[in-house]
Amino acid sequence: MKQIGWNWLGVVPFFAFALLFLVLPTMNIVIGAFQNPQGEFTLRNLAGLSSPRIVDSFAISIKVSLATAILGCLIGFAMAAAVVMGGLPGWVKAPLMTFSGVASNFAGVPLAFAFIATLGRIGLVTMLLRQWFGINIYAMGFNLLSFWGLTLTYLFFQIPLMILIITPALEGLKREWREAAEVLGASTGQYWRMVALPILFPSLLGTFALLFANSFGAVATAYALTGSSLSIVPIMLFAQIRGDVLQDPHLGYAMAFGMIVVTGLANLAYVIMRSRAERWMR
Amino acid sequence: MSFLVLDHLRKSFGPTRVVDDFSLSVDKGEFISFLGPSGCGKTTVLRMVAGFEAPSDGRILIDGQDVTRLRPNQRQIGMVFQAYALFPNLTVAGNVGFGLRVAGVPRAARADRVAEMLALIGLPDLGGRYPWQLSGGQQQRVALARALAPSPRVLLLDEPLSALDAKIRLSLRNQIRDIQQQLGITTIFVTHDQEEALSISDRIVVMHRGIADQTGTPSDIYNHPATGFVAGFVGTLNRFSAEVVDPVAGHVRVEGADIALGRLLPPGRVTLAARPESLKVAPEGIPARITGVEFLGSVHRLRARAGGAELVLDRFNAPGEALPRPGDHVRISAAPAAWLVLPE
Repeated sequence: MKQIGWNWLGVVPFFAFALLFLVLPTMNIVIGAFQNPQGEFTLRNLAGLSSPRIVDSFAISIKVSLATAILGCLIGFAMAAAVVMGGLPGWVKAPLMTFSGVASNFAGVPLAFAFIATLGRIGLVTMLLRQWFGINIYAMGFNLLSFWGLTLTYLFFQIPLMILIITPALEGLKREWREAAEVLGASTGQYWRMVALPILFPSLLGTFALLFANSFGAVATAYALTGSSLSIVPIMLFAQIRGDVLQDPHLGYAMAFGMIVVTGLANLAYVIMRSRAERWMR
Repeated sequence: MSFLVLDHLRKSFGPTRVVDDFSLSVDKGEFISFLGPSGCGKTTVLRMVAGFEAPSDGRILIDGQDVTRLRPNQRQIGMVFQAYALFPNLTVAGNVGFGLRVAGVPRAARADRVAEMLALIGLPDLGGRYPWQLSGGQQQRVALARALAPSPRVLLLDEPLSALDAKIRLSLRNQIRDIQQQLGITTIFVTHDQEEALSISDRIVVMHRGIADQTGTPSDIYNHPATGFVAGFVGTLNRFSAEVVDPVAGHVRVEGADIALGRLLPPGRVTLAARPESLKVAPEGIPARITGVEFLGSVHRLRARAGGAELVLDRFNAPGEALPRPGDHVRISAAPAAWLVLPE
């Protein structure tokens, strides 16, 4: 009979942590979404998600998440590609990766304050642009406390996260693949379209899903930056937890359940696309 | 006129010159091997022909066209890499048809050509597999088919057998030679394995420190090495320090034994050398002591010591023939024509 190894003891804390802080709270949310305050089954909470304000908040959250994930992927990929296969000097890579490691974890109130201090109405960069170059970005329509302001702020940690994840994948592209394609007559564009990007596609998809989820669940940065002026789902939810706006905890459960569904659907799409993209892998 | 001309090629990486004044003319359909140790510049020359490295000086002409400044995708060259370099995201058919696809060949014509190439390499039924589903030997055959599919003007093989085990290496090298002769394609084969180079080449270029030490047929290279390096690198060589006693008559003295070579010699001291299969135990010759006898199947390898020199003698396995034993004192000689005379 196969004995249970002592090695399993090492992962007990992980499973205990996951059970206590992920599985049980998630089950509590899902169950709560289908209960009224008296604990009886109801669909009224889910029906409440169709109110215009909540629908708008989901729409804004998804838009911000998509925008930051797409831009984060594109800009981060370009930067990583420049470092790995561009003509940049070798010493650029180490500081960039170190900075990315720090910046990808720099979020919440400090990040919001940093952006207010630099790109707020009287921020350092805003004032320098106005005084040195006569450019008033606020007169041109920019507002830090807006969709694009939040997107820009999120990009501060989204781009470095992309760089951290995609750099090893880019380094995994063999020089011989490019040379083989080239000597067979392929242009640089054909090599990227037919060889490099399909090979990288699973990594790109994974990173995109991670960036989307990273942005979709972020609350502290958005709350510290915009207060309640930009109603994304986490802020609505946060307000619900504080109990000073909606005063309906079970509607809050339903909103959290909605977030789980959106994230779940995004991950499902990711899994399906990745399995198709990885047909060639063993 | 030669089909492929490498004209006074030079290549430096920073202050280091890795290829120096390398010239070679290759006829159409010829199979040329670049043979040399690691770092001798053979792969760099190959990469210059492919267009992956730009020469610091010199020209490369293919069929009269100067391709020195052309990009690799404009040269119509096929190349097989040491580590296969198959595209992992494409099937075998996708890999073989890649060059045709980027050239815009219609799907039907492409499929025909892919089938033809897969039949040529003996893998007609594996078109739907991915590279990871193939053995190393199969992958390298697919890489060969991929390189040949667009009908390149020149085929470059960069140590294509190095990553394979001995048995596969032998069969694949024969297959490469058969296909090359069947298609009549001009081929450059880079290797550090002398047996490979000797067995399949029309001509061999032995490279050393960025220059071509000697270019010749396998027989020339083996039997008449032009330099001490070529003599030592290609095949096993027994060397003796010899004193020239009569330069005109061609007499030398080694370890007290007089040897008549019957050819003009430089005065002073020379190095006398002979291949293991040329040396024999004889009544007259250089005194030596047998130190070991190995049975290698087709040959017996005798190890001996003569003065300060360690010697190797190969004798065909003839059952029943008496062999010297370790510790025996013998005399060693060779036919006059078998002795190589190298500068001291």
